Amino acid sequence: MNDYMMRKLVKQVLFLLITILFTVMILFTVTTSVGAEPALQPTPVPRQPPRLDIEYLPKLALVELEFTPGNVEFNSGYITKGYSSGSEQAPPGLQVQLLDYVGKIIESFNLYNPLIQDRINPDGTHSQSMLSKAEAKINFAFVAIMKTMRLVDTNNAKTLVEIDLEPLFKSYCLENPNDLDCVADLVPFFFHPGWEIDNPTLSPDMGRLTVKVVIQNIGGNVSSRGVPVLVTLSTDDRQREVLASRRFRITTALLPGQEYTRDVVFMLRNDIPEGLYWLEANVDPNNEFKDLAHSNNVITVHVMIRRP
Amino acid sequence: MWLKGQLARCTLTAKLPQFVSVGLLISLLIISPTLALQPQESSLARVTITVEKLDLFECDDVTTTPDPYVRVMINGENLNPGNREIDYYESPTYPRQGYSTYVNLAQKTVDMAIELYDADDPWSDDDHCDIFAGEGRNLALRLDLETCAITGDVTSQCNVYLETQGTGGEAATIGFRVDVDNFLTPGVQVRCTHDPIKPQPGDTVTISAEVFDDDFTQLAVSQVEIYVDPMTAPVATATNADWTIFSITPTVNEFSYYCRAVTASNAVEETPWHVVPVGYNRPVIPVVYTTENRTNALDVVFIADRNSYSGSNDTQFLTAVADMIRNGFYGENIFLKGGARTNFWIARDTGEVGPGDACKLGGPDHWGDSTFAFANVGVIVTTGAGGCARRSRRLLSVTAGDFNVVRHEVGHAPFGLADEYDKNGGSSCYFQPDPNPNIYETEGDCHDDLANLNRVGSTCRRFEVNYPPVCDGPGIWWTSEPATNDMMNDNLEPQAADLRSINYYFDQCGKGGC
Repeated sequence: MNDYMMRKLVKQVLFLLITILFTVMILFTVTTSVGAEPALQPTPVPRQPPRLDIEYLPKLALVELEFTPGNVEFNSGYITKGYSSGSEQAPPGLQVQLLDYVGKIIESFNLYNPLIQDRINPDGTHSQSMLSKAEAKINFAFVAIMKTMRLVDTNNAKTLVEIDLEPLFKSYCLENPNDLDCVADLVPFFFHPGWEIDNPTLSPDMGRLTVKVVIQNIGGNVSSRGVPVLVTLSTDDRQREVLASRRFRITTALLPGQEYTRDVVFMLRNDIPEGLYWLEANVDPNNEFKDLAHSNNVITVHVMIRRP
Repeated sequence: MWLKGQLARCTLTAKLPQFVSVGLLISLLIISPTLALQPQESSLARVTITVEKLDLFECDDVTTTPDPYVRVMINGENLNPGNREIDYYESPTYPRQGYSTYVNLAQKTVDMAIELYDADDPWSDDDHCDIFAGEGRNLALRLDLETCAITGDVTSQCNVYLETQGTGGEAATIGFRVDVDNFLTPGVQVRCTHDPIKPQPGDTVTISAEVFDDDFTQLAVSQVEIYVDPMTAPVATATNADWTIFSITPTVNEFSYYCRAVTASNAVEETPWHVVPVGYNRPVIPVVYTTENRTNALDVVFIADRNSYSGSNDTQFLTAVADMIRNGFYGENIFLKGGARTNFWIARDTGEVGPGDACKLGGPDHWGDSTFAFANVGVIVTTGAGGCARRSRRLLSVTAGDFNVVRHEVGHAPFGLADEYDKNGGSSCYFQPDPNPNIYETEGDCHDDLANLNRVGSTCRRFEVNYPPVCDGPGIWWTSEPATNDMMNDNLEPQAADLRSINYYFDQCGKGGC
């Protein structure tokens, strides 16, 4: 191969290499540009502006605590409609815990000690002082499974104050009975003219013992018909042997504040000994119906039975 | 032979640069247009699933109250990790809870899933509702980011109301929409404002759109646009410009607008809708309302200092508020981007700063009650000395026009950042924020966090604070933030730890946690 041929060959090889290089570069730029090219949005898709939500508000709990050095007390609280600010960062030491009906913590957040007061001095420096009294207003989004708010001193593992949220929610439900969380709260009690509050005396008449049971709705609007009530009379010993029981159903839906009254008649043995017995009424004993607070579904009273 | 070979090599070597030059030239010619199409980084868009209707139907447990919650997944991210419940009040058509996150447009499609549950009593498992008539109980959807088409269990479009119902023993109905908005392009920022800030009936309102780069230098783009609801075409367009304006005299009790920039490569940067009520008279009045459900937004309430202004309608106060929004919040990248998740309000009643102490703050009437419980922070604007955050009361004081200070103080509340300086001989009850600390109790903690802040190899600096007797804690603190040009030190630029906290907070807003 002479020099001319050699040069020609090298030229051809070089040209080929450069062509390959160009091709690779072109392919590379095309593929990368396709991969990274933004989705084009030259014309925006019509969409709704946000709606001013001043009517359809969720539930909000507000609790006011009063702090004095070494002590915290519950001042007031209520549940209303509104948004919560949510929890912000605060130093460890004071923790708010929100618990459900079995005492499980649903949510917790730290709280600033309101007794510590920051100030900027005339020379521009910061200083702090301890107030003798201060209020803390705590807010949080309320959900119906919340039962308790607790404030804990986490440094000393000490509960400073514990607030039952159930009464606050009941008050809310009386004002907002249409809230779907505001189901009825059926509470039983016994009523009979002449009864003492505790240890009433009952006298069977021809073996028949009649008691008057009243069921009142102290909760919200959402109530069912046909809620069962179980009324029992049992012995006053450790066995609590059931001597007689009667079951009936509340035949109507109860509006807030409404009552349903029913006479319950027990047939007793003629030789039933005189003395103390337990009388109990249990609304919805198998938890088949919605109730704002199942904890107040049972009433048990001591009764004295005497023969006429 | 050797000479000839050398000559040939020399000739080739001499011509080689020509080949290469020609090659490079051709390559550049080919590459240049495609380079122009590529953004510097990937562009983003916000994808929001808003639940608008729930009917638990068969899924509603007869023995417990209805406690619905949804689990929304967008791009593999669970946007309700705490199973936060939706309030099921009165009409079940109004929960309107939003779940949003930002996605990279380069990925073309986004997978989404919606699950509905009814929380049961603490003794039982939650009911898993069936919200889809086909197989499975959940909804699986795919969003095409280029066409906005939705496929999967539902075939539709984004920004359209959708409703599905399941069958069987746990059947329930869910109504929702998938929105795509707030396109973000690196290196481009749009500031969208209106004046007057609290318009009254009959006022002419000027809407301004301004375009900047990341350093807040004005940036000319192909198009700057302003949209006003219900128009789908821009009401104002400027070509090869960095700003445009539009004037409107609202004839209804509220109006909405947003602004948009389109670059030469068709990349888009846009703001969310700004809803502005006209002539409202309530204890607290929204002036820039971007986010419907307030758990999805940082809600900032401006309060007039009664020692500085005649009231909340004082024009000087309203000008100060407009400036605070425009130059304080929208004058810094992260707050401008976060503007998509920020609502601004004005309290009708006045508050108070001092006198004589910028930390002595009094909110308006009912501050702390239900009227203002939604407020993440109240900013009391004063013409006197300001610059203090009372975090226990969610209140700040800021001097009108002090834009760096308002960013510093909101760094404290609500973003949870600590000061990073020694208080000039004064004292403070410092604590290490958790999560996302910007100061640390030990040097070790500070070092351990360097990698998370992309500061591997950096050092931590120490500073001392006099600890007052009223609070426990160390007087020596550590931080990896710079000693100068830092938001929580000299009130200037937000640095890595600041940005982490602020971004975390806005992410929580997207999950209904604000």
